Amino acid sequence: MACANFQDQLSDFLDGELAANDRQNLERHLRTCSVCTTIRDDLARLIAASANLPLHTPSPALWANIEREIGAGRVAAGPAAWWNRLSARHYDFSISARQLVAAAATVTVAVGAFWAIQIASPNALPTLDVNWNSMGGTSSQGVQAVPLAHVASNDEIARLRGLVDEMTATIASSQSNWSSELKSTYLKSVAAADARIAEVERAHAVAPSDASREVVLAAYREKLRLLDEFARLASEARPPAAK
Amino acid sequence: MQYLAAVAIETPRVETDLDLARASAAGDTAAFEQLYRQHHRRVFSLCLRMLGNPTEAEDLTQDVFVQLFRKIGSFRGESAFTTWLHRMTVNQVLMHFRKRNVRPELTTDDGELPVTIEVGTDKPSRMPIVDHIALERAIGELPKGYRTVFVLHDVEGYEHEEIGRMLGVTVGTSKSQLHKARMRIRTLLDKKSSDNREVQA
Ligand SMILES: [Zn+2]
Repeated sequence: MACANFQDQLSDFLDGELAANDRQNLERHLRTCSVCTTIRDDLARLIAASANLPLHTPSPALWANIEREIGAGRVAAGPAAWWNRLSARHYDFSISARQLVAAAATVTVAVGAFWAIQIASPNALPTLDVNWNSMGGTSSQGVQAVPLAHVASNDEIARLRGLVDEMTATIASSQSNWSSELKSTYLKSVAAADARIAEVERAHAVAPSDASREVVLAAYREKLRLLDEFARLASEARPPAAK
Repeated sequence: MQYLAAVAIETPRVETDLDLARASAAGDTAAFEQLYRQHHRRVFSLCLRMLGNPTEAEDLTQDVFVQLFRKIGSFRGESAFTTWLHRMTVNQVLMHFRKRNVRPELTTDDGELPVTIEVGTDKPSRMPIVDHIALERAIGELPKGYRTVFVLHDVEGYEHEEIGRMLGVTVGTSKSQLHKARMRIRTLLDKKSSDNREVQA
């Protein structure tokens, strides 16, 4: 049998769908044919990579559209519900850091995990007592955008960065009626996220690899997840009249 | 009324998808939003890979979650929520293809893409390390029918039997389309980095 016929069977072979007889014939051929063996190995790697593709993130505005369409009133959820849910969320800015820099100081920020939340009225923006004891030395002055020039250009990193900028601007535009506690919490959270991003980007710049790029992407996604919550909070905090 | 809620450190997520689905069915939109937060990336990625267009993929993701909200009362938890949601997503994508009268290109076995056969005299060259971005691009370059089967089988993990049922084709067709898709992607990835090698039809 020719190589062409054997190559046609490679997918079934790799998927375990080849009949025993055919499989034995193919295995025998593979022992002597380096071309078919190379293709088998390529397809095997392709299959493994396809099963582990990273996820894509849609525009942060998408939820608002869905919310509108299902008629979920913002008033119905209320800021109090938002605080409760935000406080139950956990943000880990040390994702995959161990693979990269074993000795790196990991900054784990559990937004809300250290908060005692006092809710005065379900319709007013709650005031917060923030006890931020996981922050270590990170100061809220670090909110400045991370210098990005040293990072290898990359479509996905650039895209996530764009989303981060977009959401940061959205939040900034509706921050005026935040309490000072909320603002300070926001600044500290962003600073922690930025510190994490700066750290992994530095490592990526020094020794760029697929793995280090994934770590950078993970750090951006994590910041995005954090901003996502604050963006929601910002829109909740807006007075109902101001549409 | 005033009350004080103290949140414990490292609170594990106690609400399962089923809890959230039940709460959503009862009209709790905050619970539904949490479901959205947990699943929208998977849904969007599936739409994006099948459609190849971010704007269309967002529109469809929106449709999926709106439909999910309306149907969530019928989720009883006998299957995994993700399985249920992804099946709903695939159906939505296929319906979208039908609405736009996009032919799934699955009617004939021998499509317009000849599979490159390499013969023993060729110097075997290994495909470079599979790069996620290059792989996504290659998937996007597949003809729609090949792409659908490839995404459903290799990315989403569906079996040929289920793909056959969803697309209305035989298991044999699904298998053959998948193989052609893989060989095509391999060629696309190969070409990117080793243009020196001649491919023969
Ligand atoms: Zn051979």
